[in-house]
Amino acid sequence: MTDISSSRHIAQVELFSEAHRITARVALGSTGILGLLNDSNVSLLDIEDAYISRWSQPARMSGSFDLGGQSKASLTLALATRREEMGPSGMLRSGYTKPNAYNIIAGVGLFEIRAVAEMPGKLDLPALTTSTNARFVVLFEATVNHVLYPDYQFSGPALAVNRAFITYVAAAPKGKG
Amino acid sequence: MAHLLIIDDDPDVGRLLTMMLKRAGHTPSVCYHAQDGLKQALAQPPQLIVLDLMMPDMDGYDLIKRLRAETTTAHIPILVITARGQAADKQAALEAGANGYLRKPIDPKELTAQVQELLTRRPTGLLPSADSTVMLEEDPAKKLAHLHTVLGLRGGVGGTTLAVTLAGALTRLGRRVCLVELSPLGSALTLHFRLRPRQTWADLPARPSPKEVYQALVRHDSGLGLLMGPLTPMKGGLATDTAIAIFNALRTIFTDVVVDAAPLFDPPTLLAAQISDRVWIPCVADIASVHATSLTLKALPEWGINATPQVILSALSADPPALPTAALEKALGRPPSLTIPFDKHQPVALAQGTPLVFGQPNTPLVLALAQWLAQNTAST
Repeated sequence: MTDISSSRHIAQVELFSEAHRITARVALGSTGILGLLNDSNVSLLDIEDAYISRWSQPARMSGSFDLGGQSKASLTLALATRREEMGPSGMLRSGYTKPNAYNIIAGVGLFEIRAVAEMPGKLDLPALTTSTNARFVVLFEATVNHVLYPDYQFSGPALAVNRAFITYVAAAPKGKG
Repeated sequence: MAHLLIIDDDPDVGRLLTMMLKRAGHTPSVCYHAQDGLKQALAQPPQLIVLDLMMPDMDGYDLIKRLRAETTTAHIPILVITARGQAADKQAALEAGANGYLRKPIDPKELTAQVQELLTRRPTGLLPSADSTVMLEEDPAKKLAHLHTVLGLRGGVGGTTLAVTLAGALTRLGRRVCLVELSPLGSALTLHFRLRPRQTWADLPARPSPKEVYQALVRHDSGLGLLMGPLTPMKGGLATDTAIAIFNALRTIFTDVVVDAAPLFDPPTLLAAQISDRVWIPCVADIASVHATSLTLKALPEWGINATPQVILSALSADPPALPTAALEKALGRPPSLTIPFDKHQPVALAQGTPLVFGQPNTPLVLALAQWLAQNTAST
């Protein structure tokens, strides 16, 4: 595990696995949170000052640690505090094309998501789920509910979604997006 | 300029907050552990606490609850600053007892605005500490508490019940209320609340400081403060200087002070009545009580008591009144301000030590007074 250098930009991030909500800090490089999550050479995401909550009481801290790692394979979602911390815009959507925004709904593991997908041209759902080898894709203006505790809603400007956990994805019904 | 306490385990955030708050003209001190912060807050209560929710030695929610449970810190505004900014986090912090919530990263302008807003907001429902008295006295813009004196020259007509119900009804209206028992003849409030205070006004020094007055108060679960009279009859009664110091202190701390006066015009009773905004005179429909009430009404202006007297006619039993209403009004020269019907629940409440106003607020006695207060709140 590498030590987190204080000279790098530190971002606050919410990491959602099916059992826990972890609020932690990550040291960002030029590729942002998405770059760290999609780095296939490292299976753990280095995190510091982490505070852990169980989903039954997502506001209460059940544990904490100073420095540790989050398994990317078992991480379902990562919610950024700021959109720019997720990564540079060139990484978040391809090329120099003008993106269109689509309201979508998705089931990702034990989470239900409403968010905005940005992509050139028409809404291409396979592009979201299977097109590249990247483990995580990004959605914007997301709201997240845990299916077992739907009263708690979490929201953020950018959400990294682990494609392995996606069970369904669809354009949001009109008027309900 | 206010004394603030910052409790945050992150030294960088602690330094940053200190710098921001110093620039805003405050004097902050920092604790890097929740336990240390709790100890310092109890030893030297600050005017505002800024705390982090996520600390390794104690959950911020638990810390807030501990601060709220202590008399010396219960009233202190708490501003939460945390990296967790979801709706569930904010709701949990406010439910735990925080007064404000800011999300990291901190915007200095937002921080100073929130701190200023919390410092100027008067706490509700909780007893403030004696230290805040000093702060309030320095601010001439702060209004003094409304003073209500329940006064009558004849005992046994439900005066203490009226004072307790009035104080409780005002508390339920969201006011910060203190009930003061002036009688030196043995405390009746011990019966009404089934309390045995550690201190009464008889234990106070001749000229008590606001802090000493505050420390002599008993705090009821409702938030009502009680300054009780001596538990057994005492010679003399409350000295005038002591009474002045008590009223000065209480009127700057509370929004309403209700005085349950003794059935005699001794100096502290006169003092309370003279500075009262409203004098309440309990009366029952029998000849002796009406006679005493009539004499009281005549005596008020002669003794420099200018507050509007409110005659409260109570029925102490289910029997028909001994005096017809017309005769009563003729004797008093006015109709009663309020007529309270007989409430069969009151003797039971007295026996149980739970005033009706807190235990059974839908009973006739409480409803009648609460309705009257609601209609006359603007002038109360």
